[in-house]
Amino acid sequence: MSTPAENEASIKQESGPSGTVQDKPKKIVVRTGDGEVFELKEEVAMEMETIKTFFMEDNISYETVMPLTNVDSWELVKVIEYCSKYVELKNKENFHKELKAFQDEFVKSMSPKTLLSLSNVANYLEIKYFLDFICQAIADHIKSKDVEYVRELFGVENDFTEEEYEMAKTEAPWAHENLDKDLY
Amino acid sequence: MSDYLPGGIILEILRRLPIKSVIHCCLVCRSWKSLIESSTHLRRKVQPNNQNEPYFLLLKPPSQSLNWSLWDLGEYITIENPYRHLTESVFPRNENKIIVNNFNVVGTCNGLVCFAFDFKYYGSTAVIWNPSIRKYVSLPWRRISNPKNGSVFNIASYAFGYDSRTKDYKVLRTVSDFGRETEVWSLARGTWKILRRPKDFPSRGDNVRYAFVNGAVHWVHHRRRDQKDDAIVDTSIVLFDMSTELYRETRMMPEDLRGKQCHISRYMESIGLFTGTVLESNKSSIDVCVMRDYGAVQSWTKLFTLPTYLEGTELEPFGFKKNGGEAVFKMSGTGERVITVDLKTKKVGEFAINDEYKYYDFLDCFAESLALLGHVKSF
Repeated sequence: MSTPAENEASIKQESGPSGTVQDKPKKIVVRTGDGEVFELKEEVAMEMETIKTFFMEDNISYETVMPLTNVDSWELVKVIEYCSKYVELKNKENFHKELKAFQDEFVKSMSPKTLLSLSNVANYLEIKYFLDFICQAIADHIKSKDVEYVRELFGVENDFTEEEYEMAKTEAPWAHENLDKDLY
Repeated sequence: MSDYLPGGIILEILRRLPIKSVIHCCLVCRSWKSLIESSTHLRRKVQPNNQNEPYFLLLKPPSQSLNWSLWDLGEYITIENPYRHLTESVFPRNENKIIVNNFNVVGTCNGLVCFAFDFKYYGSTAVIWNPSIRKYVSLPWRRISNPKNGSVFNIASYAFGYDSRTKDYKVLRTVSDFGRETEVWSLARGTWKILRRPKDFPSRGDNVRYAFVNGAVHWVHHRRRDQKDDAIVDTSIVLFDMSTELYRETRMMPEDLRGKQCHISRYMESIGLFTGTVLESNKSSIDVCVMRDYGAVQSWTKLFTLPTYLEGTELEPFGFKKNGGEAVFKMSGTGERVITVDLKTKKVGEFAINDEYKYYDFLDCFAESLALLGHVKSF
């Protein structure tokens, strides 16, 4: 697993007369909300629509450091880890099998709350397959949990009155039975 | 990132939950309940592989239970027989203690099932039921004035579909012999609206098959010489567009099937036709043809011919599996069962949930859905 220190790079020096479009360096540099600077391989960075659009739309030079103010460094580390693996496995024969194995390990290493944070990041960076994966992982986690647990996890307050709550329950009583009451 | 999770992401998570969990999440807080109830039209993304419509809905003859089966994994779930509850909705006071054992299944659409019931002296009505969330909506009664002689049952025919423009479910009802009136009911409106049916358009008296494809209900329409002469003059595929609520005659009918009795069915995003041919005595066959490109009459292809040689059996087509891989038939007579034919290999197989459940009255592709959540009447 990479750390910010490994990915940190000095800002590239300008090398004489500016090159043509084909001479662009193959690395993209971003700065996270907590001030860390990351150097990404172009092929990995281009998996993120937000970054892709930023550079491609106005043909911005890769010399520019793109600010990712809504992303923390630990989150970007995880995103890079997933996208790098995805790009690596993409054209392989047992893509699905190997990806599944990687996904299982990836999820194991994270708490539900971190998964929620990553869903926000996946959405912000516009990485569809990563968002799909994270949302599925969260869904799998909460599917048999009861409402108290879900509120705790998502940081949401119960704003129903007692009456409203009971009414809502009676609409489909069969759906509210046999659920896990554990909070952790 | 901040702790706040936008509604769009919450929905992406909820779409991947089993239905029971989604309904349970309505209890989280007011905004979640409102978010869920306003997004019931969203396609659910349930494993395996996010297939749309991985299930089959199977209805057994009356007084038996309803099953639905997750086709590929060979599992099935038995769901409560809704007939008793439907009877209560159709006859709320039920002073005459009428017991209704059999509703007609009109069709399924997006995980909803439509049943219809006609009874000459009481009128007719339909019910739309979502078996995944156990809720139903019953449509307003229609009185039939001046019922003519003849069959006491099934004098109206229905079709059930979805208007994707207004995200509304609609039921079309036509009654034979009563001028040129048709009616359309919509879930959003909650009432029947009378439409004018063009001259010479379907006025079927029984539940003739239809295919709901591309937002429209499609039928095979035989134009007969006149009221007295049954000879078929021409055949065409006509449609009723659920969005515009207009009838239209199309040019989609293949040349060589005109004049023949056909069963129409949905085939993937297009249409298929099953036609029976009587060969020599006691022998007949069924041709299975599909229009590969919807709307392109030259794309009609005959997939195969199924001989029906067995004495004393009748083969009736149910339709096609959603991905177009198999055609499904109901075999009645000696040894009732459901058989499938693989469209590539032509191999014939049998569909049975287990030894007990081999014969079904109705079978169609089906998907879990939250439609009707927030509407009244559940059981």
